[in-house]
Amino acid sequence: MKLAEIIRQLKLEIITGKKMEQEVKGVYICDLLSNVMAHGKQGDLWVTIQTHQNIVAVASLLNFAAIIIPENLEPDEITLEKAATEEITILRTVKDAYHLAGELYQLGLRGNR
Amino acid sequence: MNLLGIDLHIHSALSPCGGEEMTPPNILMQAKRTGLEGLVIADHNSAENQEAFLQCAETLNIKILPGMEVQSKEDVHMLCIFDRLEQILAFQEIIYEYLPPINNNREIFGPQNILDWQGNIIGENQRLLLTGVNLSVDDITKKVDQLAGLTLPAHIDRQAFSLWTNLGFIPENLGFLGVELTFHLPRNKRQIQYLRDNQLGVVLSSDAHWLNQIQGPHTRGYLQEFTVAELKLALKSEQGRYLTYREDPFRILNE
Repeated sequence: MKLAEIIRQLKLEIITGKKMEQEVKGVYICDLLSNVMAHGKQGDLWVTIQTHQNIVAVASLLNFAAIIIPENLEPDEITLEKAATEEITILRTVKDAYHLAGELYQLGLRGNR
Repeated sequence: MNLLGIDLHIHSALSPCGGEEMTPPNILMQAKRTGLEGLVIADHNSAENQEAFLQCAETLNIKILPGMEVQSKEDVHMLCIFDRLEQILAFQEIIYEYLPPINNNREIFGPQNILDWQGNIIGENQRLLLTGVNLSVDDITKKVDQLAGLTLPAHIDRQAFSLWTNLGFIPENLGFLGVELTFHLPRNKRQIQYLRDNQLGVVLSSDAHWLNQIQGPHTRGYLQEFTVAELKLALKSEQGRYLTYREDPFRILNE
């Protein structure tokens, strides 16, 4: 499913990013970045409440489709700067991770695991 | 210069997880008994026992630098070390501003005892200290820098509350001179190689919460005196200062 379509259907807020045509292959939810580095897959939508700049490096390293931040949390200034430089898309929702995951699942995203 | 036995991470009875036996006389006597000459008492998110320890240390002729173990909003533990009481008290003001306004529950977390230099309980800290403050790792490091202190990511080799586990790797833009490792955990070769590649020094501490966890120096510093400036030089192995260990954490690289 295309990222743009997911954004449209779930009414996600675009905090930064321009590349919306990526194919989203799966979803991964985790807040311990060492774990994400070990288990994240290319094309994943990554849901995390982490707002530290390291999330950009991890998303870049693993070639994630985008990062989604739940609960309307605010990414750090540096995080946004880095995301712009690295061309990483960061999205946001007021929903918490559980409800967001439910909706992503209902869209048909089953994950590539 | 002298080779000083040091332990940069010991908890007092102010930390709810710290035993009530962790009083100034008890800790300092144990330190002396086991050959420690320079200590940092680092309690969670508070410095309210620092003055008591500094006063007691004077009478027992042992060196203490004021310190604190701060939990960041990413649930990372950071060891923050200063030279003077007024610096850590200024730092404490900042930390208190960013602690969530929740009270401690002594049944669940433990008592948070404020002590005098003789170890008498003179009060209890009502704030919930065993929690994260609303400051990022970056924020905390910058505030310590502004107060001329030293920040060391604490026990990065643990699963819990470790910068390595929680943030994936050590941010490069914060100017860390070193990290703390846990003396009793086996070394992870990849992690030690990373530290070497990124010129990060290592400190091994007890992180003692009970007296029997203070077993003497795991780290010794070859220093002019026990100060933040000297520790910084030793972490960088500059100007003749260096750190040496009971068990060299870098030895695994040769195996």
